[in-house]
Amino acid sequence: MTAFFRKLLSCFAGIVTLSIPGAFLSGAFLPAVHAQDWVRTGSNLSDQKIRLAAADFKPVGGDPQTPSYKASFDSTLYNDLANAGIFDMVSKSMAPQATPGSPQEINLGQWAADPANASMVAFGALSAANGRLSVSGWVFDAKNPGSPQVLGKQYNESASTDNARLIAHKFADEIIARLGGGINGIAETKLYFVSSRTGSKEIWVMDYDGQNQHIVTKLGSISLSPRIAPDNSRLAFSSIGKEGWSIRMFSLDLGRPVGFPAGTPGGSNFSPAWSGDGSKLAFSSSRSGDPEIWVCDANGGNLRKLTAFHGPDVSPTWNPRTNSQIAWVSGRTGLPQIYTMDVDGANIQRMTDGGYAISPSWSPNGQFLAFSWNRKYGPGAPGGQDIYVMDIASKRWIQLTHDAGSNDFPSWSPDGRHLVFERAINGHNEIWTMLADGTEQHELTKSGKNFMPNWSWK
Amino acid sequence: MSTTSQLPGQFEHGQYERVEREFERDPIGKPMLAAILFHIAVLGGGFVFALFAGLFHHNAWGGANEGSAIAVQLVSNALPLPADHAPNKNVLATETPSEAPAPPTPKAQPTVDEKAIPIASKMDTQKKPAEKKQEASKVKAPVAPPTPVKASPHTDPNLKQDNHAQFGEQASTQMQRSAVPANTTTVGSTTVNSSGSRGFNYPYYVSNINRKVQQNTNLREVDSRTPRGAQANILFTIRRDGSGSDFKMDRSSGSPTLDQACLRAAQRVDTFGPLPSPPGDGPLIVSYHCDYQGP
Repeated sequence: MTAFFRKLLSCFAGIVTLSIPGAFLSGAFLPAVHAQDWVRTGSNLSDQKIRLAAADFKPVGGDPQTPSYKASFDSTLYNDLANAGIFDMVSKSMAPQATPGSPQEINLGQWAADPANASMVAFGALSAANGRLSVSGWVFDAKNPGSPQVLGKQYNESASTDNARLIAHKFADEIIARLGGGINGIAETKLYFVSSRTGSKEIWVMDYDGQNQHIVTKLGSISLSPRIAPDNSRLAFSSIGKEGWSIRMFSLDLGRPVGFPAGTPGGSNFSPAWSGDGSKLAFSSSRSGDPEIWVCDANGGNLRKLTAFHGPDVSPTWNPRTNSQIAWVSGRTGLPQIYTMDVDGANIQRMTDGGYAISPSWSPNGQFLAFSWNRKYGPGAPGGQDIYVMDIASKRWIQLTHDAGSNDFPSWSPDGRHLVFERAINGHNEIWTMLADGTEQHELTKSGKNFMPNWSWK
Repeated sequence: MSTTSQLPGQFEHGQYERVEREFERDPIGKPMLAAILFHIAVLGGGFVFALFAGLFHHNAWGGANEGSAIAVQLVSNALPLPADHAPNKNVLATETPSEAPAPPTPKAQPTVDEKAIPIASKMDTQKKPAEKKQEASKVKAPVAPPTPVKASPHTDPNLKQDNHAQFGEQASTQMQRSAVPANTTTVGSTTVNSSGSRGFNYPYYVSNINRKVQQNTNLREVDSRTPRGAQANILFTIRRDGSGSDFKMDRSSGSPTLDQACLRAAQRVDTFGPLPSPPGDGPLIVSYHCDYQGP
C-alpha cells in the first residue's frame, strides 16, 4: 500500500516538476489560452538513418493492367527511397510478405519485429479502373502503435506506366520531405545533358534515375553546357551557328528556341549560368577580345562585364542561396584555378592553390563548391581529374572520386545530397550520379556519348 | 696641262697606293672571330644553364606544398547526409554492460510482505491490489530497460581498457515506443512531456530534431579539455514552418566552448520541417542537451 502511494507521489512530483517549466515558459512567452507544446531531447538519442520498409502495394480491382502498373510503381518507389540517402531501407527479402492495403489491415508488430526491424512502414493500395490509376498510400510509425500515422496521401492519374512511375515519384518525395526534415525530395527532378547519339551533339533530358531519356533540341550543330532555369521554363545553352558560338534559349513551355539578343554579337560565348531566382544570367564571352565573365538579365538586357583581367575567365556559377556571389574559373595565373567574387566584381578570392581546377558548381545551401580538379598537373606528373567538394568558408576539401576515369562537370541536386557528373573511361563518356560524400556511384546512361549534365532546380 | 699618257702596267705612285688601298681587305678577321666566339659563348651558356636547371627539379605546380587549401577526412557535418556514428556502448540499454556500475533494477516489483501470515479473507483482498500493482507497473515497464543483464564470459575488450563506466542515454532502435496518455509520450529513453492539451505526440519529428542538430554539430569547436559527460542544455523554439528561433542557453555545461558549439549547431539548421501538430497548437519549444563524449 505504502509503495503504491510512494509511486503515485513520485509520479505526481515528476509531472509537476516537468510541467512547471513548461507552464512557466508558456506563461512567460505567450498570453495564449492554451499551454505550449514542448519537448525535451538530446544528442545521440536517435539513429542517423531512418529504417524504412516500403511494402508492396496491394492491387485492388480486376483490371488486367494492374499487375504491370503495380510492378513499376513498387520498384520505382523502392528505388526513390533508397536513392534518397537518408533511409536505411529494409530489403524486400527481410520484409514480411504481407501487402496491407489500408490502415486497418496493417499489423505493425510484424514490421517492427525482426528480421524487418522497421521504424517506419510505407504501404497502401493501387487500383487501375476505367482508365484511371488511383493510389492511396500511408506511412506509419511502427514503433508508436498508439498513434502511428505520419502521412496519408491519395493520387489519381490517367492509367499508364509513366504515370505509375510519376505517382511513385510524388509519393516518395512526400515521404522524403516529411521524414527528412523539410528538404524536398528529388524524385521529380530532371537531368539535362548533351548527347551525341544522333550524330550531332544535342541537348537531352532524362529523369533523375536515368529513365525516360529523350531529346530536347534538334539544331543539327554542336550544342553544349545546358542550364535549365530555376522555374523550369527555359533552357540556356551555347551552340555554334553562323555567328559563331552564341548563348541560345530554348523555351520548354513553347517547345522551340526563343530569342536571346545578349548571347550573340561578337566573340565566342560559352557556359551560361542562371542565378537562383532566375532573374539573371552569367556567361563567359570573348567579345572584348579576352574571355571574360558577363552578366545580364534573363531577357538579355542590362548587359555588363564583371572581370577585366588578362587570361581566360570562364564557367561561372552563382551562389544560389544569396544570389550575390559568383564562382568561376580563371587562367590569370597560368593554369585554371577557381575564384569567387561578389556579383559586382569586387572581393575576388582564390579557392584552389594549384593544379588544374575547372567546372565549379555551388551547392544549394551556399556552403560548398563541387568542382573537377587535377591536383598534380604537370608534365610527367601522376594524378587524375577527380570531383572534389570544398567548404568555401574554411577552404577544406574532400575528394569524392578516386582512380576511376576522368571525372568532370559536377552538378548539385536541389536537396544538396547528390551530385551528377560526367565520367570518361577510355574515351567513352557517360553520366554518373553519387551521394555528396562520394558513396553510391551509379551510371545513368549506357549508350552513346553523354556529357555535361545539369540537375534541375525542382 | 700635260696629259700624261698611261702606258698599260705602269701606274703613278699615288694611283697605285689608292688601288692598293681599294684592293686591301677590310680587317674583319679578328672582329669576326670575336663575334663567332661571343655567339658560341651565349648559346653555350644558355644550354649549360638549361642543363643544370633541369637537373634540379622544383615543383612549380604547387604539388609538394600544401598551400592554403587543406585536405581533411570529412568536411564539417553540414552535408545533409547521415554521418557514420559508432554505436554508443552504455549501461542503460545494452546487453553487454560495463563492469561498474550495475544497471538500475527495474522498479516493477510488487512488494508483498512475505513474512506476514496469510489470513484467508485478507489473502483475497491482498491479491487484488497486487494485481493492480502488476498492471500499473507493466504500463511503466517500457520505460525501464526490458532486457535482463546477460553475464557473458567474454567481456568486450574495448570495455576492459576503459576504467570508467559508460553512461548516457541510448538511441531506442530496439525498444518499443508506446504512447502513454495523459500528456506523456515515451520514445524509448526520450520522454516527451508536454503541457499542451494533447501533447506533442510525434516521436518521428523529435528524432528528426535530434538528427538535424547532431548533423550540424561541429565537435572541433569544443575544447578537448572539456570533461567527458559534460552536458549543455539549450532552449529554442521551432515555428510552424520549421525554422528555429529564440536560441538561448538553459544550463551551462561548465565549458564555454561546448555551450557555444551546442547553440551554434541548433542555429545552423535551416529548417526542421513544418510542424506536424495541428495549427492551433502553435510553435514548439525544444529543450535540447548536448553530451560531450570526448574528442
